[in-house]
Amino acid sequence: MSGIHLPLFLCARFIGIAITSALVLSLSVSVAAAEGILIVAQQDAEVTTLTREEAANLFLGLGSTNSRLIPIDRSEQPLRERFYRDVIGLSAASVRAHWAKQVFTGRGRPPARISKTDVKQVLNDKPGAVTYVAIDQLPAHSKVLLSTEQGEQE
Amino acid sequence: MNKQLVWIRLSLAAILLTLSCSGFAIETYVGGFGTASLSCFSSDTADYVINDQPEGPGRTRRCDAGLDSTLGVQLDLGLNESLDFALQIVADRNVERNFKPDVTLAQLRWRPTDALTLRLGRMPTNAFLHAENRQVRYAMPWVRPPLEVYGLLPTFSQDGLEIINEGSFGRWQTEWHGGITRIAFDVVTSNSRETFPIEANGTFLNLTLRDRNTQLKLGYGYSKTSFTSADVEALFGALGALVLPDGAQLADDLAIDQAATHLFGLGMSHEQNDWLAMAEFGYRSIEGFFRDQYGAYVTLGRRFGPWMPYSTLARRWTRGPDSDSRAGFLQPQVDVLLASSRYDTNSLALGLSREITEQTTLKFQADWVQPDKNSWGLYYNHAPDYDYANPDSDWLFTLSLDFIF
Repeated sequence: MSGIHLPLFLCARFIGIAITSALVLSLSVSVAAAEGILIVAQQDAEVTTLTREEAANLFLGLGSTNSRLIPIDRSEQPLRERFYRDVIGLSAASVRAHWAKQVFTGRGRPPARISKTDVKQVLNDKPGAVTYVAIDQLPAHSKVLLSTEQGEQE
Repeated sequence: MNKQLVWIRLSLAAILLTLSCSGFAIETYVGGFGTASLSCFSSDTADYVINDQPEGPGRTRRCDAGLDSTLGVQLDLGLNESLDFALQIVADRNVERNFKPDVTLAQLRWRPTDALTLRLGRMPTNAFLHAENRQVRYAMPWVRPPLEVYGLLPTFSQDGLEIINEGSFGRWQTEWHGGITRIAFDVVTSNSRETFPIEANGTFLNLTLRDRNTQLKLGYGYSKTSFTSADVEALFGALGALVLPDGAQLADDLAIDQAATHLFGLGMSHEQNDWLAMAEFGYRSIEGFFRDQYGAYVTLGRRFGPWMPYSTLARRWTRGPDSDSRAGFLQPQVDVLLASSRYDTNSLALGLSREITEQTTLKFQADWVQPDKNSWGLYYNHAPDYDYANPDSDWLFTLSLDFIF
């Protein structure tokens, strides 16, 4: 019978440790980033809005994403990590792990990365390109598909 | 013919074919992944091993770098917008006690529509949450996936055809995977260098549901499995040949020859506000002398910037007859055979990972392992003084560096 009692004992202790840890850690409230993010596309793009779910799926390469949209990631690490957290809802480490899994199981490749100076040109050159910028850096001749400041546009 | 050669030739043929079709407009990517690891196991009476490894830390040597160390290289060829080819070669400790590279991925992938993907060739097994990337430790929270569940899948790759359908259901992205596969690999006998082959041909159907933070997975596979060894063959021969009323029938019932095999997996992963929770259940049944195996685990982790402490509680349990009266005077031998797959065990893992760079993670994990009474545990190379009736608990300590490039 000890074969049954032992796991029950371990379960009870494990859950106890988890609940205690949650209570302690919940005291350390994380401060949300103050700066908003805009997801943008070319002004003439067919797509008009994106929900957070659609944006997350697009940038994670999940689901039957509209193949006419080309997600373009950003090379600036602070902006990228804020985008992952605020829009996709995952930590940067989780997104990297996700793409490592996708790549090394033959399921796909992560979006290309561009820097701030290339945003305008990429949006002009690639009709389906979708990328993100800080809220005060909206490029000319582009349209906003989602703003984290205003919530989702349905 | 050498299996490696066959795969490399098939891969080259596929490349050449697709090159000729694509007019050489090819996007090429070369990358890789790996783990450099050292593990120490406190047992003097058995080795801690994963999958088909013939030895590990413990009885053979206290500390061992071969348990988790891996190096993989991958070539991707994007042939056009809907067609690509991937070839992956991985070196890790294999059944022959060396690190000879093996082809783990050699697939042609065709995506005719946004919702439909076809894969042909060698591809990863896919029944559990992290089954596909079991060798890419960088992409998982642990040092290694819990053996209690992932040990139910003895191989990393399968050969065949897979159809993937992607869609949506409410807020969930859905992904159906179905296909036909063939798996063939060798297993080494405990305390021996003798190997014997295992083959399985079957079908599978998996469903994955995802939203931004949650992933649910349901997997089922059915196959016909065959394997044997010299000792088992000798026992079945004796059962069939000797004057036992039901000996031949018993030998037939116990044999694993085109045996119906069921594999079932149910998993959940949720990540939010830096918390990570995962839980999986797995079940495997093989018609014959092998006991039905059940495995489950729960993992809880919390990110603090680059740090993540985590803990996993896992259990493997088995069900099946302990004895068969039809064996007559061979009952002790049959009972030993029926007990050979008693792997019932519990483990508690405490781990800490630290991102060193965006492509490198350092992990430390301590596993407390306690096999049940009358169990071999998930060990190999048991010593004569291994206490099967009342096994000791042991500790496994692992330090590993996971990386991608």
